[in-house]
Amino acid sequence: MFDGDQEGNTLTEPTRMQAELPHPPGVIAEEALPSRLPSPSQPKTHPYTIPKLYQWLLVASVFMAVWLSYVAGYFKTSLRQEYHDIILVLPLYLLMTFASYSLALLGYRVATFNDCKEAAEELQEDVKEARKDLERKGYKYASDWQ
Amino acid sequence: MDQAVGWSFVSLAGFVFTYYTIWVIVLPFVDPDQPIHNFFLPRFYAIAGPLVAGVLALCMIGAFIIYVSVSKKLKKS
Repeated sequence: MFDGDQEGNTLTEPTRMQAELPHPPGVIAEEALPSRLPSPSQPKTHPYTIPKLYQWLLVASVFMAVWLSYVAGYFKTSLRQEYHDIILVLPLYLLMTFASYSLALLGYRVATFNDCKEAAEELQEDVKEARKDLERKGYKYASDWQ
Repeated sequence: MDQAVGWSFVSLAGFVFTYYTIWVIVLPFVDPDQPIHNFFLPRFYAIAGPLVAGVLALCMIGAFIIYVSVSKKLKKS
């Protein structure tokens, strides 16, 4: 879930749930139109994936509803005393699990970060060369950047 | 150096997770006269500890936010 922006996190365009229309007889085919003009006969669909945050909130609220109804005694159960003790502590336990998972994932990403030192130094050399070249050609710098 | 910090985070998270799991989920099924109970505090602290830590964390976050906003206002004036 920390994989970055692979699923839609924000809604950028309004959803249009129109099916793809076939070509009416008098309409020019889309390939014949210049590419910069919008094609009126085939509007594109914009699939909307629910952001991860809302997915997690949905799961959390469903779980809290079930758990609260159990704790408040809205239905009769015949569980052993140990199971009852564990269910009472479940939200806190799940929170601790989530915290330790995120800490472990953070540490793992830090430890396996692909830091290319040679590429960084090469980039610095390129920057210096470009700067010298431009100064030779008479370019004046408004701000001094490294 | 960064790798050491990263792996230390991973091992700390693993230790915390296994200790807390045994404390909360495994121990209720273990007889009270087994010696493993000597390694764990009474069950009360399995709930009080994280709660107090959470409250402290929230207080520190709030204090940091207040500090940053106040210092920004003083800098502006």
